[in-house]
Formats: sequence, structure tokens, C-alpha cells
Amino acid sequence: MRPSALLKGCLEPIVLQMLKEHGRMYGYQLTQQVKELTKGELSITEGALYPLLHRLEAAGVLETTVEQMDNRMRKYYSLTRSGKKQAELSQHALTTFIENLQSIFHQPKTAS
Amino acid sequence: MMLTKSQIDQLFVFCEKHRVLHYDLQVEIVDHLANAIEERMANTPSLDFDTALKQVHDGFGPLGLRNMTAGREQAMEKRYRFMKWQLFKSYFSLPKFAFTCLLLALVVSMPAFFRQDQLSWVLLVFFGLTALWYLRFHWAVYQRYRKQQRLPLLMTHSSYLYFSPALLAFGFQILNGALKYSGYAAEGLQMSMVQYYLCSIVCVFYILFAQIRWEMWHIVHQKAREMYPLAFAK
Repeated sequence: MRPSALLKGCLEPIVLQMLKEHGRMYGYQLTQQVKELTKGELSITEGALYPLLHRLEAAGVLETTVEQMDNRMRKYYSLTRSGKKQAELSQHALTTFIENLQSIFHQPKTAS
Repeated sequence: MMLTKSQIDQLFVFCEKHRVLHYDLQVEIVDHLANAIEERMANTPSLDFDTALKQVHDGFGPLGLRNMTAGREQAMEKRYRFMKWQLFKSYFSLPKFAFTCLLLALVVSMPAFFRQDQLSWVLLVFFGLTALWYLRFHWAVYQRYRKQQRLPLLMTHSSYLYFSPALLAFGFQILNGALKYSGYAAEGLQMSMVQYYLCSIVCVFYILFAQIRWEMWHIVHQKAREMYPLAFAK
């Protein structure tokens, strides 16, 4: 199974966690940071990232600012107050999910 | 290595060619493309701009940039629907509730000053005032906002902020039909009290909806001006 298929369901908690850690980030920076942290094992595609960012922005989880950077404009995303709570909740949900997976995959061997 | 101004302009043209026509979306895509191209060209100095652009664009998947536009449109619709609902609710809590009460009091008090056979004319005046209110809204929007915007923005796209006057006519038709069917409508030009109150309340709501859209235009354009000053004439 490809890691990208597993990544799909975890994308939102990953993005929220990154923004919680870094304060504010732009789209490309998010993709590169994930790639760097996972040593290239995981990569977020643009086609998945931007619709998610736009959906979270519409839901009031993220807020945006646009700044002039050299010869172009750059859009930064950051967590709103409710976004910070959402980040905590999604991190907790993901941790619980991982623990449940571990209890499935690391079952003590019983003598049959 | 940093892309030149003319290469950045080429990226804006590239977005337009791929049917990304709104400046607010273009800005985000151009920055992403530019970052990715710069990194590729830095890693492989022999790589030219056009090849790097093609490689980066392929990374957007089979739907390319279209996927981004569709996703953004859906998100905006949802966001503005929520915003309209919040503004609508604000007209039923203080301080704006005073405005709603004033309009309703005006409508409700009319039968005390006119005979029942005059009420259809009173309603006609309400109709006229509502239409004027609507025209005032459109004229103000054109003068203050649309005239000054020189680049299209998805966030100020009128389909999210517009509402149709046909809604009012439709509301009246349904109301009158229901009243006639249930026997509450009077004969001829004369109006029953139920008919008068219901139709005038529709007018009040229509004025409230016009107000809500006006406030939305104001909020959305203020934000758009802050974020994308280049999209507006100075």
C-alpha cells in the first residue's frame, strides 16, 4: 500500500499541527516541511492541500494574510482561535486512532 | 535563484490559459509555482523555465489547476452562506433588532390609518419603496465597489453576494395562491387583513435581505482591498 493512500485521512491533523507549531505558513512551505520532516517518505500533493486549506479557511478554522514578497504576493495561513481548539481535538483524535491501530497490529500472541 | 518579473508575469498568463481567471486564486498558484520552479532550477541549473513549469504543473495531478478552482468555489459558497445567516440573525438581536422592529411597526400600524379598501394602495407604496431600496442598494454597490475593482476576484464574485428581485415576486405569488386557496383572500382589488399583513411582512424581509447583502459587500470588499490592493483602482 502506498503511503499517500494512508496520508489522505490524516492530512487535516497534519496541516493543523504544522500551523500550530510554526504559527503561519504558506502552501508551498507546508508541502516542503512535511517532506523534510518525514525525510521524503510523505509528500502532500497540491491537488489535496489547497482544497483542504480553502475548506478550513471557509469553516473559520484558518485565517489568511497576503504579503508582498520580492516580486510576487504570498498568502499565509494561520490558525484562528477556534482553529487552535480544532488542532488540539484533531491531534487527540489521531493519537487515539494510532493507539487503536497499534493494539490491532501488536496483539500479544496467544497459544492456540 | 529568483524568478524575474517577466517570468512571474508568464505564470499569471499560464493561470489564465488554464482557466484560473480570478486574481486572488492566481496569486496563490503563482507563488506556489514560482517556489517550486525556483527550487527545481536551483537543483538542476541546466533546467530551463518552461520545462520546470511543465514538471511542476504535472505535479498538480490529472485535473491540474481546475481542481483548485472548483474547491475554492465550493469553500466560498459555504463561507458566504454562513456569513449571510450570521448577518440575518443579527437583525433579530440588539442593536439591529430596533431597525427590524421599526419596519414591522410601520407595516403593522398602517391599517389604523387607512380603510381596508385602501390597503392594496398602501401595499403598492410598500412595493415601490422596496423597489427603491433595492435600486439604492445596487447603485451604491456599483458606485462604491464594482466601479473601482479592476481585476476579478473570486472572493468578491457577485454570485455569492447577489440576490434576485424575482424572489420577492415569487414570494408574493405563492402567498396569494395559498391565501386564495384557503379562502383568506378578498375579492377584486380589496385585500383581506391576512393578505395585507403577510404581503407587507414579505416586503420587510426583502428590505432586510437587501441590507444584509449591502453589509456583506462592505465586509467582503474591505477585506479584499486589504488583501489585494492591486486588484482595485487607486
